[in-house]
Order: sequence, then C-alpha cells, then structure tokens
Amino acid sequence: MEYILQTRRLTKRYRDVTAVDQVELHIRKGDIYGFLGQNGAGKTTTIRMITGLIQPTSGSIEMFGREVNGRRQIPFERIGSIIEFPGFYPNLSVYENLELHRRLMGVPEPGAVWASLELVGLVDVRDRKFHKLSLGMKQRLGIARALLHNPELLILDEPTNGLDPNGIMEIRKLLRELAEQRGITILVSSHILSEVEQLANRIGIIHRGKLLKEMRLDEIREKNRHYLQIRTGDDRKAAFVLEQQCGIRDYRIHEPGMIRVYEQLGESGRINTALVRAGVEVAELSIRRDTLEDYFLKLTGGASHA
Amino acid sequence: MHRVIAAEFYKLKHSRIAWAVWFGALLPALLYSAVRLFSDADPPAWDAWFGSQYSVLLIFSPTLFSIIAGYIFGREFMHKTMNSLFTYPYSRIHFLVGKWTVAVAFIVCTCLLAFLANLLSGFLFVDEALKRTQISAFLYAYLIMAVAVVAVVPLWTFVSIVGKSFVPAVVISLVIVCLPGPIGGGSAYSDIVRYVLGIAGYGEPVNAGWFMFSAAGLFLLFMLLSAVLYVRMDVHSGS
Repeated sequence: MEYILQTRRLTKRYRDVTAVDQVELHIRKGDIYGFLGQNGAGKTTTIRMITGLIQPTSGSIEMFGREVNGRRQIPFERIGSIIEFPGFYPNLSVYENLELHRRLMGVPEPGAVWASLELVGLVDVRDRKFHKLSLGMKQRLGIARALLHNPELLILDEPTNGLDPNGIMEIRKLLRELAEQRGITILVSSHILSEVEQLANRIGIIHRGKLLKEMRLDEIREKNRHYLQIRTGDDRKAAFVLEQQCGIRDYRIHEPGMIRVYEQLGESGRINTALVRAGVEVAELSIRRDTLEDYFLKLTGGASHA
Repeated sequence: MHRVIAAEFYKLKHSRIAWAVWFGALLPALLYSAVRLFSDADPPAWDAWFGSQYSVLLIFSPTLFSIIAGYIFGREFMHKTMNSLFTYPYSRIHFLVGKWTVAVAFIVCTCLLAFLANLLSGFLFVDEALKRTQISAFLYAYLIMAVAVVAVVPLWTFVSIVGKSFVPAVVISLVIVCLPGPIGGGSAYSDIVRYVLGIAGYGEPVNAGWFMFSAAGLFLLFMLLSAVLYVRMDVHSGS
C-alpha cells in the first residue's frame, strides 16, 4: 500500500500532559482524509508536528515513502498547508502576498499567481490589501497560497473555520475538484462531523490525544445499522409496549422521548398500532440509519461535540 | 539565501516602518535647520553643527532602531505568519539571517542618510569652509553609531522572539535609555553616549578596542541565543 503520509507512534508531551499519544495515521495517495476530533483533541498539534512547526516528543513521520527526521527533511515543495488561521502580511495586496509565496517556493512561472487567484475566485480583489478582505476571502487566499506551487499533499487544518454556509460549500466543492481533477491527496482536520462526512473518503477519529479509529467512510456507512426511530411523549410506556406486546429486545432510548428500534423494521405498521392502542402518543415513526455523528458518539463514549 | 533576503525586503513593501528610516535620518537636520531659521546667533562651526545633530540621533536611536528591528521579527507573530514562514523549504536560520540583513541595512541606511542630511543642511547654515578630514571624521562617527546599534540588534531579536512582539524590544531600549548611571546624576545611557562620542572623536578620547570587543561580545552572545531559540521553538496556536 502506497502511503503519502504515515505517522508511527507520534507523541507530544508537555510536562504531565500528553497532547498527542502514539498516533498512527495512514494516508494513501488520492485520499481525502478527514481528521476528526473535538476542539482540544490533538488534531492541530498532530498537524503541526507533521509540518515541522512542533518537535514531536517521540515517534516518527514518513512522507512520500521516506522517513522524515527533523523539519529540514520535510519536502515542503510537495506540500501545501493552512494551519489554523491563514496569516498574511497586511501591508501587501492579495497579489503581492501570493507573489511573495511564489518567489519563496521558487516557482519560475509568474503566471502561477494568476492561475491560483482564478482557481479560488479572487482575481477581482487582487489589488486589495489583505487586511481589507472578508474572512471568507482570507480563507480562500490561504487555499490559493497552499495550491500555488502545485503540491501533491494538501494539509488543511479547520479550513472552513468562520465561514458562512455558502463559503463552506464553495470550499468543499473546490477540494473535491482538486482531489478528482488533480489527484491531490488532502488531509483535512475538522470538528464538524457533517463537513467531514460530505467531503472525506477516509476518516481518522482522534479523542483526547489518541487515534481511536481509522477507516473508510463507506465502511462506517455499511456498519451503521438501520433503525426505526419513534418519537413519543412517554418513552417508558412505549418501551414497555415494545417489549411486552411486540417482543422487541434490541432497542434503546436515544434521548428523552426518542426510541431507536433495531429489529422488526418491516413491522413498523404493527408497532405503531400497538403503541397507539396502548395509549402512547406517537409523534414520529421513521426508518433511519446511524450517522457519522452516532458512530463518533459511540467511539468517544458520548462526547457531546465533535 | 538570496531568495530569503529578497523576500524579507519584499515583505516591507508599502509598510510604514520604512518611514522610520526617513524619520531618523531627517529629524535632527530638520530640527537644527528650523532652529537656525529663527535664530539671530552667529553661524555655527562645522564641528558644532555635526556634533549637535549627531547627539540627537544618538539619543533617540535605541528607541527608533528597536522599533525597526523588533517589528521585523515581532510582526511574524503578530500577523500569525509564523505558520507559513516555517513551512518554506529553508532552514529557520536562513530566515533569521534574512531578517538581520534587513535590520542592519535599515540601520546603516538611516545613519548614512542622517550623515548626508547633516552635511547638506550644513551647507545652508555653516559659513566655515568644510575640510576633507572633517568629512571623513564625521562619516566615521556615524559609522561608529551604526556599529553600536547593530551590536544590539540580536538582543532586540531575542526579546522580540521571546515576547512574540516588537514591544519588548522597545521596552528594553527605553530601560537602557532611562536606567540611572552607576555614578549618579544622569542616566547610564548618557555615559554610553559620551563614550560613543569619545570614540567618534568628540570630548574625551576613548580606546575603541574595548568598545569593539564589547559590541562584538554583545552581538555574538545574543545572536547565538536568538539562533538557538528560533531553531528550537515550537510554533503554537498563539504564535
């Protein structure tokens, strides 16, 4: 298996606190890898170690098939990145900021700046100073910079932070196109489950510094079971009816007033009748499937926000 | 390396910090020219004309140059550009040297421009004939000032990296300027000013060897400390 990026027992300790604990990431060529975790789970610290901004306490990193010992061996020419907020020089214009990047990266074609601006739709504001851009434009400029030197691996840490829904959709579309048309491998971290679910083909879930699971998203979809969701005014009485009258054992009260039944899904009409006859109010009854959020909650033991 | 140095200059395009060079270079000449315009006193001699402007620049040079040097380093933290700066295919030492080059260039430019402004304004207000030996002595004095300031650049660098801002460099300079002298009366900096003036050929003659040794020691010590800190530091979210 060809891995573009691989970490082995990557660890970062700060005195008594272990921020990242023996994380093993495996990112294949062409993956859009969603690195999922709550705020403070260790995503950014891991990414900072991968990009050489933080020295790991122990463990190793392999990029493009070669072990990287220290930041001097990181092939920065082949990587584009946005780490948290994309910082730029406020006195320079949009164009000048990218021109600076082009020169530092040693890209010989001056046209690369223009192409990059076109890609993210910032040509019209090329002469505007960075500090006069909206947050969405700043994020797009960050992506333009990350792509300017045609990297093979794109590392994006929370790239949609602070964007409105339209902006998020635009970035998602752009990243999908980049992966499909240019074959760029993308590592994107996020604490927003729905964002990762709609973008990534593989995910890694990190929680309290440990990588809990790494798998394909369609594997999760296959694993996640269908269920009958019943919204009711009295979940205790409903549970009693389900057990005693319908003989259902595989169910759980997901939250007050909501029951998820995992068996006899074809018998929804009969279940509904039994509940109504017993005087249980049924506000909703529908067949659904566990989402990534459910999977995440199961893995992390019910942590409320990813 | 040339790419990094060129990039460090490019970063200051349209930046107001470049005006600090003109401010430092022209302020003493403008001040003394304004005074001469409204004064009925006899025209000054070249020595007095040069010496007075030189002393003014020497007095406010720590604050002025600490803003310039501190800004060059501190802005990367303030504008959160450290993340991208350290993901270019160059060692951190390259960036450190690039920034030092810009800081030193700004300091030397300011001193040379101040010398020229001093000279040109003198032609307007000094009647005495200017000797070639005087020009070389005055130029030497300005270069001595540049050396004295450049020696402090790594110290400003160090505190800017530690404080992640240009403010600590300015504070250090203000402390240097205001610190009481060891003998009492006046500040320690006034002794330094007298010392530099002595090397430059004004007042009591001073042995330049000890000065050069101290300047080199200060420069090398903080250059080493800054380099170790810059290379080893982790860049976190707050950076």
